[in-house]
Amino acid sequence: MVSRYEELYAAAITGKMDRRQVLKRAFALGLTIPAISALLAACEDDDSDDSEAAAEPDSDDSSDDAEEMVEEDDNEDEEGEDDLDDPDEVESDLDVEQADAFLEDDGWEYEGDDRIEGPYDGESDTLNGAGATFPAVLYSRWFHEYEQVTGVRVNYQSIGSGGGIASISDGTVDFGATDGPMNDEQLENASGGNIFHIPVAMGAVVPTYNIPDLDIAEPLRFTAETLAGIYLGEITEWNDPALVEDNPQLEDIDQSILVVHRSDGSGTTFIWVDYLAAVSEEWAENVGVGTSVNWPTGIGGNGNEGVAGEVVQNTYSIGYVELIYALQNDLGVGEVRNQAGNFILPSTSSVTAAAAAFADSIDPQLRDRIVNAPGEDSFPISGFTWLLAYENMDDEEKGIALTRMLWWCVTDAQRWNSGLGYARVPEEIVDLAKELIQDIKVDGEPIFPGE
Amino acid sequence: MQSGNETAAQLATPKASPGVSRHAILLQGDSRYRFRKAFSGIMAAAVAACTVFGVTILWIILGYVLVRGLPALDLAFFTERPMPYGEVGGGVAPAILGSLYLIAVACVIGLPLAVLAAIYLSEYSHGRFGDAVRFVIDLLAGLPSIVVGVFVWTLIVINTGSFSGLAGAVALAIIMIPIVARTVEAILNLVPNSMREASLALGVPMWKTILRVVLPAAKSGIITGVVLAMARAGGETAPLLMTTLGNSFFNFDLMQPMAALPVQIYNYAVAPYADWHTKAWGSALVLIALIGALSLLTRWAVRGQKLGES
Amino acid sequence: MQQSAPVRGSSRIRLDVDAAGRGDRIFEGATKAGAIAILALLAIIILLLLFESRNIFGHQGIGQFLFTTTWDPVFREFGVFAFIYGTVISSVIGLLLATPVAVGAAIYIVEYAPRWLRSPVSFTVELLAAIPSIIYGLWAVFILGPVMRFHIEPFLQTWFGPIPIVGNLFEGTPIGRDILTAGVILAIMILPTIMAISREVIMQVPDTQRDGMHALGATKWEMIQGAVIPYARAGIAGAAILGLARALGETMAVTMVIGNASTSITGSLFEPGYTMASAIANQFREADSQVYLSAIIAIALVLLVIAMIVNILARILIYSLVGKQSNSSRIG
Repeated sequence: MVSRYEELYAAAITGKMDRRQVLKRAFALGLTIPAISALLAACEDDDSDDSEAAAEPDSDDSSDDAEEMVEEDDNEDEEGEDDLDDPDEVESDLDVEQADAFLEDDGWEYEGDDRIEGPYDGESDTLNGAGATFPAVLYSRWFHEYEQVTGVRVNYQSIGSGGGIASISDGTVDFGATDGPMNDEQLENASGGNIFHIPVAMGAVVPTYNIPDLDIAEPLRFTAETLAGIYLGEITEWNDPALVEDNPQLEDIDQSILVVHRSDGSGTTFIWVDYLAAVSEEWAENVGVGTSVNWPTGIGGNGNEGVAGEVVQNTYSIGYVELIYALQNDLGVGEVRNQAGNFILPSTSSVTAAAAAFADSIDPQLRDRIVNAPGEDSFPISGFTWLLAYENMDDEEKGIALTRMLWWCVTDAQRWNSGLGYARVPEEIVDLAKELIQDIKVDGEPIFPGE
Repeated sequence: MQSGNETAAQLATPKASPGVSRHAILLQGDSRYRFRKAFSGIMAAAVAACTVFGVTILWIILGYVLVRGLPALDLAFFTERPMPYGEVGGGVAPAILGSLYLIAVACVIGLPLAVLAAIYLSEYSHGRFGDAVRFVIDLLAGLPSIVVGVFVWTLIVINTGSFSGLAGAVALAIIMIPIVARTVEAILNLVPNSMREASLALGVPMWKTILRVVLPAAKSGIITGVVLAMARAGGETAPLLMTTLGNSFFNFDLMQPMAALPVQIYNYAVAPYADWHTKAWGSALVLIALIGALSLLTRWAVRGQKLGES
Repeated sequence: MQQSAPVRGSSRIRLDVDAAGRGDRIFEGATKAGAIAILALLAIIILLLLFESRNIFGHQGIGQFLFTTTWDPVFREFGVFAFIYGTVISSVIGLLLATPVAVGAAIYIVEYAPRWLRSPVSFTVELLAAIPSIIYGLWAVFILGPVMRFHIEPFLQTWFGPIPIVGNLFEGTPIGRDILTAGVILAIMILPTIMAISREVIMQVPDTQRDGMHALGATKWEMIQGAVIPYARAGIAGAAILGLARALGETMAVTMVIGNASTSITGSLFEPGYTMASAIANQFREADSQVYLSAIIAIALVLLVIAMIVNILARILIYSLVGKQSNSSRIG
């Protein structure tokens, strides 16, 4: 009953695998950089007699190694469509670029025969969308590619999940995007009738911290109680007994905790507070769940990048961000204990596990939240991110263009997900999403023209 | 700042009333004279320092924009569209063209209205109604631009069902109207009455007099006002955030979302990518250059006018 | 209108005059329509904002909206007082920092500067007014913010922190994204506005005033203090208030550095805050319920009303001194 990460960790620490094997395996699992740093550190401890690779203490170096591994792994790179990711183009002195390069294409390819290729007669050549910032990194990449695939220009502006919901409800965009599903009241208020939620990616919201005394390769361990306590302002010191219980290394950190949260309305916030509310009654009663809440404590940063920035700038702080932003900024990422009692490090695989835990009980409208998932390996603060589209549209050209675009997003486009730090949507959910797309109508007639 | 006054007051009689009598005593040479002289010198240095500060801060800001922006400028910067998040390369061509396009459309919408109102105020109105209009124009000039954005959003974006270049242009037009109207009115007031009278005496009707005599005479001033307004509108960000939305593709359809330089700067500045930060500075440099070019153009136009007159 | 001294003579000329009369009426009508359209524009802005914000006033009282600090979209409680506080405090800091410098520069340009220097110097300072707000924001995020965080704020904290009362202003961790930083960038932005108008006002002071003081043996500064400043006081106050008006409505530069957080009022200038304008900019497109949206539109309405009041006040002060000729002096 150990996660694959812990299995690997055990293998590394006992010397069952050498450095390169560990790296290869870690990469195959889609582990995060801090996780891999931790694994490599474990190798060092017991691999003193290892002649193959001299132990290198610096985590940057390990990223470099990882990069090499990527190149080796990618020999069977399919169509060479990823020329943008050529490491030569990447500025090597930036951790951001290293992280990106590290997270490259894992070789996954959509295998169905219903792919979207080439332009289609009678479809609109522009689509406008707006919403979540959480998947904006992924979407901007997708739509850049999509123009090359079909010639349709999909203009996506990341204005926040609240904005995505508001814009689709007002009908001021062709599609919206959100990380928090629309609630019933919002659905009723939408001006154009029923709205479909098309899940296109999954991500993790991770607790991230800046404690200079600690090695980020040894992640802090958080529980539902400690996270809720910190964000309610009840746990105010890093050496609070509740924290020290799981993290003995905090015992000497006699510093107060600077809490950082989002200042704007956000789906990242939604997933985070949805989790806190799921585990803490006090949170559910006093603060509640929404894309922006009235925070009991802390300072605000604007956007995922703003929160990451505040955490970087302020020592002894804690914040929450989408996984990719923590990776890009080289921040400490904490493990979180899930329902099954295991401490799980966020990664694309532990997010996929969370979705899989709900696989038996999927809402046919696909508005599922997957926080606090059961499952042994599930990362508990995981969420879907959705594209929002009206069931009944009135413009045929837009209808064709939109349904084709959505179809592409749940199929071919998924190959970019893990490379950018998001998990792919599980197949059974993709099948349901396809049914929804085929249900989108113009004048009462389904509009999707087929692949 | 008061202490100088104290010195003078202490020298005066206690009951001295403000004005000449209080200062009469200053004439007497006294031991305080050197202090007063020195204090005056210090204050002269202080106000000079204020001026130096004002001038320096401008050059500091412009210097940063220049130094940080120049490395971003290459051919791709002016010809290509933005790359996806976090990827290096690409350009801001849609934003540059979008900004120019928005300003042009805003001029088409706002200028006729503003100039007509200015002509009315200067040539026809002599009463309370005119004062009321002037007052309202002043209030419009003081309207926070974000409020204009909210207004245009509720008026146009919601009703047309789309964020659009048109909505952005209307917002910019609302910002331009009061600037143009007041400048043009002030300029028209400067046209000597004798010119109007000469024209009218020749039997030319009033409307023709205004169009053929008064407006041409005020041409350079009108252009100045219009360019001022264009420069101001070209730098506006807040109202565009909620009207044009932004666009990462080229777009010249007024009913579609459109990119604009200030919005692009904002998006780039708040993102966590170093390359985008460079591009934000580059875009800022281009924006300042555009505004500078506009004012140079005005100066040139104004000078041409003066030569034409003589 | 006052033209049409009809020319008597042949019917042909008479016809022209009639045509001219009609042309005049049409032309005057058109210009008047332009003027009316501008009146209508302001009216529509106010009415539409009132109409769109009706939901919030049906939802909770105006008093609760204006005077409470709880801004909680989840539980639908909307109190904007913290935003008003942030707006006022950051603007006042800007005003306090900018006014002495701006007036000093204006005095220098009018009273001290050699003639050849006047025009280039005032031109340069006024160029500051032409720089778009977003560029101030960009500069503030990358340059001013770090300087405030690592140098100025720790310095202030070290020297003024221990002083009671004053020390409260400088409590907390210096983060460079706070009310003080917003105030500093606002000061730079309103500097040219205040300077340009002050300069104009000071130039209106009659030379006889100056001569009188000189004749009394006053030093140059005593002359400025005794004759120039009292004479120009109302106009300078007007200039400052006009600067304040600009600061109150300023959006982008402030949004980028004020921190956009904390709906509680602690009194420290090192606390991140929200202004009304930055709250609108941050949350307008986020509003996902009718009440929330109308609450934000209501902020715009409050901001509009405050801006109007301040503008009217400023213009009364300036006009009372300089008269209507100085219309052209209005900046931004």
